[in-house]
Parts: sequence; structure tokens; C-alpha cells
Amino acid sequence: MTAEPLLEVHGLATSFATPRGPVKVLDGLDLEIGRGEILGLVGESGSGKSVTAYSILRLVRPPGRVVGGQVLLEGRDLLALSERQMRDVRGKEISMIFQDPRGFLDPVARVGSVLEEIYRTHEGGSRTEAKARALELLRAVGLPAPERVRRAYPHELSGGMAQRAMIALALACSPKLLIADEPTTALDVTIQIQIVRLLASLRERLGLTILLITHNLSVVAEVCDRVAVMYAGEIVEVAPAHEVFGRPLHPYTVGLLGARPRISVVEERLSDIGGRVPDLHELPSGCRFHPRCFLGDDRCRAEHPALRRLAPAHQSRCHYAEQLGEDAA
Amino acid sequence: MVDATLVRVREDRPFRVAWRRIRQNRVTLSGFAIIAVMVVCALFAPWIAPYPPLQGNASETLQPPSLSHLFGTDSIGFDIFSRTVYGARYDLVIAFGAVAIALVVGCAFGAIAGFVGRVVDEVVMRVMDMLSAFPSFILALGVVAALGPSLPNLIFAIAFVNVPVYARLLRSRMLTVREAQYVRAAIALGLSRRRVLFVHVLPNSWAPIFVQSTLQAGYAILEAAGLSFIGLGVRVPKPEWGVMINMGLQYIVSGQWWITFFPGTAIALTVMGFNLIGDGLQDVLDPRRR
Repeated sequence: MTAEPLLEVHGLATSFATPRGPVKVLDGLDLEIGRGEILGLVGESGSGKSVTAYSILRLVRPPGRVVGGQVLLEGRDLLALSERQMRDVRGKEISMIFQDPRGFLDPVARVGSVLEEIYRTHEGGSRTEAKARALELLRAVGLPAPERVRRAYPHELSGGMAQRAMIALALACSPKLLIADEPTTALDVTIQIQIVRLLASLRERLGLTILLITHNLSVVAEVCDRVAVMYAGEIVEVAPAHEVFGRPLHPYTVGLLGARPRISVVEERLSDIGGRVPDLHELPSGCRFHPRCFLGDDRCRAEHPALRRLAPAHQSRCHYAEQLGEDAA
Repeated sequence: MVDATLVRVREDRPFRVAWRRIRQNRVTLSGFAIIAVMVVCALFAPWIAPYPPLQGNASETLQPPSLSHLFGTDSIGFDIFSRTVYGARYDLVIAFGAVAIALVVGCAFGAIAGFVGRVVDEVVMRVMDMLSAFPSFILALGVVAALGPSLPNLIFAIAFVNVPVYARLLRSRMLTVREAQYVRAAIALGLSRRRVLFVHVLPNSWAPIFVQSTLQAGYAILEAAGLSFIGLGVRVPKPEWGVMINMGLQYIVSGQWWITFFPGTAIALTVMGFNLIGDGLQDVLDPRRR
């Protein structure tokens, strides 16, 4: 991670117009993804994970709008590109896969025809070339009988196969960055592991960089190099995966880990985080997490903490991060 | 890894699959049978009809149905059976022609409205609203009256009143499909909105358009026969079903029912045939139900 990161996000702000006035769903988000890295982006529903993905690709739809910041892909600001230029970025440099693979595949189009369409849009080439590429990709994502899947309609595929097909679509033009938005949420547990391992192996084989959005910490533990934890539109902690699990430096992360089911603690009740993600219309003063935090005090109520670097690779947005670290040690 | 037998991919061509579905659906099949008979009548009329359609026999007027005149004869001595067979030519040409024109023009307007949106959408759709605010028969009547009664004008008039149906249908499909997740995915993977229109939106709209077309073909025949009946369309004494009913009208009260009954039945059967096809076609065209 010494080289220039593949993707740098600086102060990204996205707001949604609502009848009660604009709401900042992302508020000055900073994020870096190194080449060949798998970065996990975790958080509760409504914390802004998916909006982050859509903002990077400039796919936020009205009433939402990216209102500020920079998204630098290899130093080039995507937010400054024209829509025409952006279209060349999507699919070719940054691709995306989604939560519900069957919903995201056209029910009346054969898998191969969409795949070949995307390939030909970006790379040109003959139908024969596109077909060869389609078969190569379907094989690469571990689909049996690629020739049959190529001619299949989505309803003829199982959920896991559909997600593999979706991954093949996303990889059609060898993108540098793959954004995976909850790629395993709609799948059976056994299939989840297969898909996650497939992503990891694609990283090895293709040198892919992956932004993996999930609320499933087992998935994060399985493949992520680093983890960014989001809360109410902000990053609250960024660290290498093993540090997040071993020595979390933000009370919210501590709470997330506590809420994770583990075989060893069947006897105990799962601990949860009291309360819920705040209404973005009425954000709490100071630290956004303080009403739900076991550490919350007057300072937290008054002062909004900055994202501080506590170790070379570990950042936290908590006034008391150091104490948390000592407690853990 | 994943078990290869999980892949349930049909090896058949789409048309084969569609045909198999049609065969399994008796309602649709009977609709197809009726229309097929009408098409055969239209194509092979000179061989099927025992008499020329426009050659009266003055010595055999107003004959009831018999072996020599299956459907009887009218007041001029025309053979009703021959004329009913020839009538399929007029009415099917009008139905298919009007529907084809309305489909192409209406879909073009609908696509433009749905794709461009904003002001263009408003203008196009309000014009369509104006057209469909008229009762379609009255509007078609006005168009033919303005252009003069002739076969091409009749087809044009019926197409004209059907344009809003298709424009509305395609536009509403576009608004629905545009929100679909697979369209988001396609845009996220770099397809332009225009490619998305052709690759995803239109293919997802054909099924309702086809179904609508079979119904519209039925209405087109009713409108064509109606306009010809009142003298605005195909003219007397050509063998068109509406014209034939007109020619036999005054003989209903005197008991010569066959002059109007057989062309009337032909109209009813054909309209019913198109409607039966439409009923089952939705299922047949949906790949998820194959």
C-alpha cells in the first residue's frame, strides 16, 4: 500500500431532497482503496454504504445528488467527467455487482446476449470474439457448462449461478475496480461462501481490486484486507481486518462485533446496540453515535470527533479511541 | 462446485418453444385455427369460391341456402358464400395493415415520449390524449369523410385512431422497465440509455404489445365493417363483410336472413379468433413460464 491508491475518495457528500428539506446521506466521506486490495465497507442498513457505491459511479438518482468532494480513480476526478466519459468508466474501469442477482439480470434476455452487448459496447469486436469472451468469462467465474448458461434465461439459473453470471457481466471488460454491493445477502449460506471465495480468487487471478459492501462480518473476516466501518453517513473506523476484529477502536465497531452470532456463545443472548441509526434529519449534536454509545458523555454530546490516525493503518472517529485500545490490550 | 444438472436450459429455438406452448393452450389454439381458416380463405379465394364475387345471376336472386348456393344469394344474384370468402381478403388486409401501421407509428411516439421525457413527453402524450378522447369510431369516420372513402384511406383512418393505444402502452412499459434493477445494472456497466432502450426496454415490452395487437386487430375489423356498412370505406358492391350486411339490410324484415347472417358471422368469428389468440399469448410470450 505504498504505491498510489487505485481509488481515493475525498470529502464525498451526497444529499437527497426530501419534503422536509435536503438530507446529507454522505457527509464528507474519505476512503482509499489500494491496488489489488479487498476493502470491506460495513455498517447497518441506512448508514450510506450503497449510496457510497452509487456516488462513486455517479449513479445516484434524483432526488439524490452528489454535492461535493472528489472521487479520484488513478488521480482522475470522476465527478468532473462528462456523462459520456463516465459511461466509458462504468463497466470498463469500475464495475458493480448487486445484492439480488436475479433481479439485476433481464428476465427476457439470455445471459450471453447481455454479456456480449456489454463487451461489444466497450471493446467493439465481432460477434464471434464477443461469444468467445463470454464463454471464457462464464468459465472463469466457475459456472459449469458455460455454453448452456450463455443461452440460458435468468430464471433457469439458481441464485448462486445467477450471481456468478452477474460477476461475469461485471468482469466483461476487465475492470480495475469491482464494487460488490451486498453480493451474498440474497444467497444461501453455503453459496455465500462460494461467492466470497470466488471474489477472492478473482482478485488473485486478475489483480482485481474489490470494494465489498456488506453487513455480514463473517464475509469480511473471510476475505477483506482492510475494513471501513460506516455510521450515519460517515466513516467511523478504518483498519486492517485483523485489527478491527482484534482491537476495535470505535465503540460502534465494538457493538457490531458483539452483535455477531458465534457458535461459542450459544448460551448467551446476542448483545445488541441499543437504539437505531439516527434520523438524518435530526442528527444528534456532537458525535453521531453518542446516544447509543456506552462511552457517551458531555464531550461527545458537544464535540463532533474527527477521523484520527491512531496507528499507521488504523483510524477512528472516537474521542476515547486510545482508552478503547488500552482496554483491549 | 455447482452441480451441472442444475442447469435447466432448453435446447429449443424460441419459436419452437412458443409453438409448443400454443399447442398446449386450447383457447389460443382455437383462436389460431379460426384466423388460419380466414387467412386460407383470403389467400385461396379464387379456388375456394364457386362463383366470381362480382358476377350476379339475375335468374337466381334471393335464393335461400342450398347445395348450389351454400349461403344463398342476394338481391342481385351474387353468391353469398363466394362473397364471404372473398370478404376475408378485404377485412384481413384492413386489420393487419391498420394494426401494423398503428404499431410502428404508435410505438415510435411512445418510445420518443418515454425516452426523451419532460416537455416532449408532455406534448406527445397530450396529443395522444386528445386523439383518444374521441370515440374511436367517430374519429375514424371523420378521417375517412375528410379523405374520401377508399381502401387505403380506410386503413389509414383505423391506424390513426389506434396510434394512441400503442403510444401509451410502450411509454408506460418504458416507465416501468426503466426502474427495473436490470436497467440499473446495465447502466452501471456502461451501456448508454439508447442501448438500454434496445437491449432491455423494447424486448421487455413486446409481449404486451403483441397481445394488444391481437385485440386491436379485432377492433379494426369491427371498425372497418362498420365504416363500410355506412358507406364510408369499401364501396358497394365490393365483397366486404360490412358492405354485404348493408346490402342485405332491407331484406331482414322480409325473411331473407342469410344475406346478412353469413357476413355477420364471419365478422364475429374473426373478431373472436383474434381475441382468443390474445388471451393465451401473454403466457406464451413470457419466457419465465416456458
